[in-house]
Amino acid sequence: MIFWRKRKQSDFTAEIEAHLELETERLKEQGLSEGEARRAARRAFGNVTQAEERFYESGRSLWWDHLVQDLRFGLRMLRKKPGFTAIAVLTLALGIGANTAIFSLIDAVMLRSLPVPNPQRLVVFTWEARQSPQTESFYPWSGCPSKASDPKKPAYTGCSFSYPMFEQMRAEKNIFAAVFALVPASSLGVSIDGNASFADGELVSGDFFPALGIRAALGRVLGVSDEGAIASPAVVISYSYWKRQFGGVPSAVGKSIVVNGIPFTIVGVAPPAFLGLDPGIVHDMWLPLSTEGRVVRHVREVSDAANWWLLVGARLKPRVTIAQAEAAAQVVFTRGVTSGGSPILKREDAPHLELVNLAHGLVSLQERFGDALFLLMAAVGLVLLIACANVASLTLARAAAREKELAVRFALGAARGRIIRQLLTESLIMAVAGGLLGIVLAYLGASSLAAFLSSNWYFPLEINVRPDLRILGFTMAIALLTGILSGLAPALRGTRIDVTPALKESAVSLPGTALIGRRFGVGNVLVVAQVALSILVLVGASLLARTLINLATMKIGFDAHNVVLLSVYPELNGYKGERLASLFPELQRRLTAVPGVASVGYSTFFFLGGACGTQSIYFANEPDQSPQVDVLNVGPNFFETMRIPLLAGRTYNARDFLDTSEKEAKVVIVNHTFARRFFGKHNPVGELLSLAKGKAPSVEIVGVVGDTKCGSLRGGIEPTLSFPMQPGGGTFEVRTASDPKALLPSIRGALRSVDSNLPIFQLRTQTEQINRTIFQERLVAWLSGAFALLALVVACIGIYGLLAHEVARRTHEVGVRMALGASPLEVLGLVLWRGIRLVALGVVIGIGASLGLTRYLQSLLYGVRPIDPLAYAAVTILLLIVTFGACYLPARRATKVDPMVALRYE
Amino acid sequence: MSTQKEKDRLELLQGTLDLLILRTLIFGPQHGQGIARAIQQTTEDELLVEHGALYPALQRLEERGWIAADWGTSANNRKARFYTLTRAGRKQLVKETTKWRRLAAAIGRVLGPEAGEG
Repeated sequence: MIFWRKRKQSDFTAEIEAHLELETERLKEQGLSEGEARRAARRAFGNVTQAEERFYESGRSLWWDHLVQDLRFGLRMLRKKPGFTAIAVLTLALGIGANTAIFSLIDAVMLRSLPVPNPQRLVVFTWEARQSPQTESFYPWSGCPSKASDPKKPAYTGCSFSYPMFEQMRAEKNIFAAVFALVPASSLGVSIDGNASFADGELVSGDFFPALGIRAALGRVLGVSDEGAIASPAVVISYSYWKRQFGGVPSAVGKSIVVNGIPFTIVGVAPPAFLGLDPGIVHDMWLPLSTEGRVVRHVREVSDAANWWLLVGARLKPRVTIAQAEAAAQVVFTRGVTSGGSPILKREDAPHLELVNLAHGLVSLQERFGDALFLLMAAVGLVLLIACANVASLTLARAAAREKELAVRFALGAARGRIIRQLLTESLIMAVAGGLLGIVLAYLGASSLAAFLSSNWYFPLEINVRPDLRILGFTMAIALLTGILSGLAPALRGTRIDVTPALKESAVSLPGTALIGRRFGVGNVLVVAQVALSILVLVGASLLARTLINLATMKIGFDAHNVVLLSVYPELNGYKGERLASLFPELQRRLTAVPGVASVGYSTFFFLGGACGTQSIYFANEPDQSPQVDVLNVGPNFFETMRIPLLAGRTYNARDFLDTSEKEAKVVIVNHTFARRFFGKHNPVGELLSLAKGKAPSVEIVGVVGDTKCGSLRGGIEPTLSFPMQPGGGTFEVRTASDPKALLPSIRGALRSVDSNLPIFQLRTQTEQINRTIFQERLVAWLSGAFALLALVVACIGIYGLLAHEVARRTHEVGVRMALGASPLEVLGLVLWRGIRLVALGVVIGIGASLGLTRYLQSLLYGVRPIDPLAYAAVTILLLIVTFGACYLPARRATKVDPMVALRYE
Repeated sequence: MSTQKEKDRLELLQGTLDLLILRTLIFGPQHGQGIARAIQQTTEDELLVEHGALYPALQRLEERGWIAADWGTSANNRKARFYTLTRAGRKQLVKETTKWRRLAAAIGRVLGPEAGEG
């Protein structure tokens, strides 16, 4: 270590003492007196202090001393200019804070490991094949992590498996320490002490908790023994559910709750850190997989190998590598899927099994938010670069003002390296201060961003953005980088001083140097860089803003204002037959009676909920064609409530709904696109179609309605069928006369008056629903807009600072010019021209960079091309106006110069 | 020790002090003052070794691992820091000696045969 000297100074001094003693003694032996001998010894030794000093410098790590000295000096210098320091630190804090905030989210959503022991030993099973597996039913799992993308990836991949396949993998005890399976069980109707509510859970096999290595915070977790229990199955609840529903009392364990009509016993509470396998997505409870078919039903027959519905994961045995496990599991998988009378996959389909590391969990949020987060990361990166350039140019201007101080230090013999280090230390102090402040800003920013993400997911998320070591490390790393980036150029530039003229007062006014601005070579580059980077951020932001505007103002075909959506699934509460059939008309009646409600309709799906159903149809003249169309089944009064225009024929009447108890519908309403696609200009009302191959067409088209967006705003408008809705779960659309938010309590009350145990699933307005679907666009548009504004402000400060400083430096020159007859206008023009020239160069470079880079935004844009002339023009004009202001202020100050004062300046 | 003689002494060439220290230590452990004395005696007081310059040199050699040091007692019963030549130091001495001999020979060839003192 160079930190600590190997020898102490006192030891060295003692040695020198010893030397002098020995030498004195020797000289005394030669006959000199005590005093003479001592003096001679000293003379022979030379300069004792110098020797000690040399020892000091060689043995000790001098840089440590210098660092302490630099820090002290730097702090003193920064305190002397509080305004400059505050602006610089704040600029850096905003830049660093924005970066840390976005990084915290990326960290929380993508980078953190599951909170389980040895997460890197966990794998999840995925398969791929050249053909689609011929399954009976298939539950598509999303959010499976995949290995690094392979360009030759087969067409079909997934991570759903059958129960028999899970059992076979479980038998491979040589490779896997434990194998588990799970399937989601969302929207569970839970009754606690007679109070109904909804919960989200998962059905998990008995090995789930043991394989992950999770122990209960209270009670016990589910085990293999819970798989057989029939009478009163066990359930483990999440920590947050325990706090929320039971107030965190220990007696919750052992309590009985009813889930979808089946009594369960709470046996334990999961630890607070464990939310599930998908980071950020919190589950309320975990139920034994053996209750499949009783609590929820995903498949008709659990033991059927043709039903692929389970996510399967495993913990590897110690010392078994993923590759070894994969090879062994591959054999089991191939045998399973290609054997039997009607194999699910053929050998030539090359079914292939892959084990993917599950250390970071499933990737649902990453799939949904990943693009947006990476885009924002790029945007904040640019903002930070601008902030660096800004602080660099401020520091440079300051270095010029400190020229005399530096010159004095040079003249006194300071080394250039030493002064560069001193200036860099000042930049680093500011950067670290900015970083510390940035962490605070980042935590606030990241928390509100996490809340925003959460409010736009289908249910609340728990995204943990508390700063951890990784985040703090990241912040400090970028703070140091920022300090070096913003401090190096000014330090190098500021120390290239010709001592003699700098020491003279008149140095600043030497004509020629000021006009050409040799000193500001670096300053010019920094201004150009700031403008160019701002253009880049602004162009990106304006493209994203236009995308958002396009989506928000697009024609959706229905009136989304003042509509409340509420979903009800009565079958979960045991409604059947006649009781079920009469429920929705009864609720519709009650809701319509609520004061302030204009009309009420209902449907199976609601608009812009992410998906619409699909259906194959057949026409008599083309029995072999089976076009796929969208399906949205509706109740009475639906089109009227949603204000969808009727173009031909009629909407449904009461009789149409009386027939709905039969399996097949008799009448159907189609949309405009359907009519045009299949009937051209011909009126389709009265035409017949069939819903099954080879069946005589018997479903009559009774009406044509206007086109609406169904699943998502970005999706196109498909031909759509609307059948009269059969009894069952669905969503009510309640149109209110005024602000729907105010009516939510009475709407809730109306439902409760029919059945207080009926849970309402997702009560929200149609507008909120639409906002949720364009959440990513809103997020990136607003945030990149805010960052662009920040970039613009910071760049303006930079331009202003540079020009203002230069005007101050050139006061004398301006005075001379005016004394020689230059008009204020000419002076104004001189300074303005200099600023505008730099800005123009920055604009050109920025636009060039944007043209190259905005194509990476393509996938996020809608209705606007990456190279959009309007966006570019608008941004350029905006920037020119704003920077003109930044140039004008100092320029005007130059014209106010009194020639007499200026000439007397020295 | 006359002043006249001190003036006539030769200044040490850069780097030669290290060589002299290493060479001196080949006879066994010695303290700083002893090293200074030994150099002066063997060079018959021709070389000017400022005692103060000796210690930073010793420090340097110690840091390079060519000599090791420990406090001990001198012949006349005084505490002193004794320096020992290490194995690496011995190697270094051989290397430096060879280098010095070649250098001296080369310079000697350039200067030509001794024409006798001026």
